[in-house]
Amino acid sequence: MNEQSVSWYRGPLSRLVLQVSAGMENAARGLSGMLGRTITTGTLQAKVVRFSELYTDLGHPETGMVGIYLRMEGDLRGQAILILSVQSALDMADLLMEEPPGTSTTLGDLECSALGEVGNLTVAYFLNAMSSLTGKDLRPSPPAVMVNMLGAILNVLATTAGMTGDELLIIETVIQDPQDKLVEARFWVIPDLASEIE
Amino acid sequence: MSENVRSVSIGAIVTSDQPNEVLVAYGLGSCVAVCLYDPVARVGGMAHALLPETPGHGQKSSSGPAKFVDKGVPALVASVLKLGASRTRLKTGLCGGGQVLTIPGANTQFPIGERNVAAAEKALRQKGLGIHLQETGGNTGRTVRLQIADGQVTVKTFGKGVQVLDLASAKR
Repeated sequence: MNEQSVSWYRGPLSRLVLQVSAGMENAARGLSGMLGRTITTGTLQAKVVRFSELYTDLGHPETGMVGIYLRMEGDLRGQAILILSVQSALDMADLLMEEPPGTSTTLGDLECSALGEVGNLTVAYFLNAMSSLTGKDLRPSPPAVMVNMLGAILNVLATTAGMTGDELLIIETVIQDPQDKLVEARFWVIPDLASEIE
Repeated sequence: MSENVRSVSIGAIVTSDQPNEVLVAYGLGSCVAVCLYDPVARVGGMAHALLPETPGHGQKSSSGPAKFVDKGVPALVASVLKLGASRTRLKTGLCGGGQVLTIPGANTQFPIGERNVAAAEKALRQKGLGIHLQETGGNTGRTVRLQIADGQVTVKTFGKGVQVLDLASAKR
């Protein structure tokens, strides 16, 4: 990670990683309660990517995927997104609506509304932990659920970040249930590089 | 002759006079792809732009010449002319410019997709070029392909299938 990419954060990088890690673990705790099963987070990764490198290991940009997106407002501004496969989104919707796996076959308004609540809760728990650790005012926007080509979903992230630069700082973990892998999503937090937090 | 697919990533301009080449912009959301094609010289080009206008403070971009539509379109026109295209024969196509993100209850920041399309139309007009094909707007992702051999444009729209369009013979 280069110096420019962390210019929004004025503390030691290790402290930032600890804070974000605690936030993501708290998000997993919140999601565990919501879904009624243990949800864990994978290894935290921070990476700086150029727009052209956004379609990394997530899949082909034409692949249909689901993105649950929120803006972060307050003292730390940025974007947060859960990216998951359509199948994983259907499984998650079934869990939320307490239906047997395989019940939902399409992502209609009801399913998307349920997924939006997952985004709400995940990011709220993340920001609550970050806020406790930093003493800063951090708030999420309402969620938006996108079922679309992966490229079009990532286009949203690039457009927002592109207004101020050519790169995105992506802090990533994988959220999953270790038991039967019904839930698996990438959780990305992308601070606006113009935003600063001490 | 095997097909050679050249990906046009965000901010990039790709031009070609090789009949076996196909230029492709994948997964367009609010981004706009501008396609130019000269059916006689069989020269074509594509720009994949992210945002409509270069900011007033003159943000320098290292993301390629077409990050901003207003700079990308003139650069694309210049590139295809340099490769042997004639301005009077140029056919133009626009694709993308959708509104993929809608945050409920939020004051939608601005319809970037619409603004990208409007900026492309304006920039082309300033170069004396009209629009011959347009597949823009909506709220779904698209992939656009331009075949250099014959000017065929293929638009794949998420959940809606594939359209095959003939840019070479398209009229305004």
